[in-house]
Amino acid sequence: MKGAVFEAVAERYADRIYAIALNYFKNPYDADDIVQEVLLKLYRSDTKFESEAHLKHWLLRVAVNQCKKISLSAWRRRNISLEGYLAGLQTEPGAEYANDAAQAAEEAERRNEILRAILKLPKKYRLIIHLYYYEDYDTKEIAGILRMNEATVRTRLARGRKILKEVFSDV
Amino acid sequence: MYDTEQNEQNRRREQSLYRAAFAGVHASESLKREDFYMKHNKPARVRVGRLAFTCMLLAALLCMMSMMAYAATDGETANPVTAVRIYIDGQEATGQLTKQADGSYQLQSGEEADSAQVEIELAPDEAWPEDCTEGGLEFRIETETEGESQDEGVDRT
Repeated sequence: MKGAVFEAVAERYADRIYAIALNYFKNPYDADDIVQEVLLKLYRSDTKFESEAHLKHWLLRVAVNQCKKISLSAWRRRNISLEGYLAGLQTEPGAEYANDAAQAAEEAERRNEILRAILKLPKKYRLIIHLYYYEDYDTKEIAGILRMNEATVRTRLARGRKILKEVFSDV
Repeated sequence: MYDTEQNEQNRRREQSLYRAAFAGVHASESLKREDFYMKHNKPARVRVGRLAFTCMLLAALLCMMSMMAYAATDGETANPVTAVRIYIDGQEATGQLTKQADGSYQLQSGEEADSAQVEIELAPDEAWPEDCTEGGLEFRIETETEGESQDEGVDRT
């Protein structure tokens, strides 16, 4: 895939791939590497995508595979301070806070708190939770992307949601 | 019914909070441009699996060791004969097998000057002959290789 079509797809999906990778590694530099690898694979790929859903599924599946592959690599960056990254995050509080700087800052802090809590979840729950909430996939689709048993996905999703419920109820 | 609606409302609220938390998470801008990938689009390397690589390495090693053994033993590894028994007209006879300078073997039955002689042209990597004729006598030669016996059955009538 090349040209304007590629750039449009990259624009649409780079942040989603980045979010998945950040979820997996809790490391912004590794997440950027994953985005680069996945988009490079797309750039080189001759796959004919039948639909937007097919394209999205392909990209997320490649992203998950790439995360697993990189996590086995001895050259992976480690020991990056997540706190440092979160502190520098340009949180977007939304248009409704445009006229109230104090409230916007409060909202930004609240979102950071949630993000921090999400990234503290055990690894086995994080990707499943992410695909469920962020990508709006059901358990069958998540099982397909992660190549897991659907029953396992359901169990982990329920446990992960239970942990997150406390975080969400506090905000 | 109420529970289902309540659950769905909770799910939507949690989803909204989750997505809001990730709203500020962005990949580097340079990663979204095609020119970035044009620079990085090197031809893919040929990937050989670890198992295939190990097999290739072992095969190369084996080949190298065989060549070294072959060279060191002047080709004896191809015909590792350790003993030869000669039968003339069904009776075991004493004899002598001598390797010639050109690589062939000369078989002499008995130690008398008029004893039968058979010259066997045998290249270093060639198997022992199935039969040969010489001098009107019936020959049978048994060769013994490393670890096992082998009957080459050289007959002559």
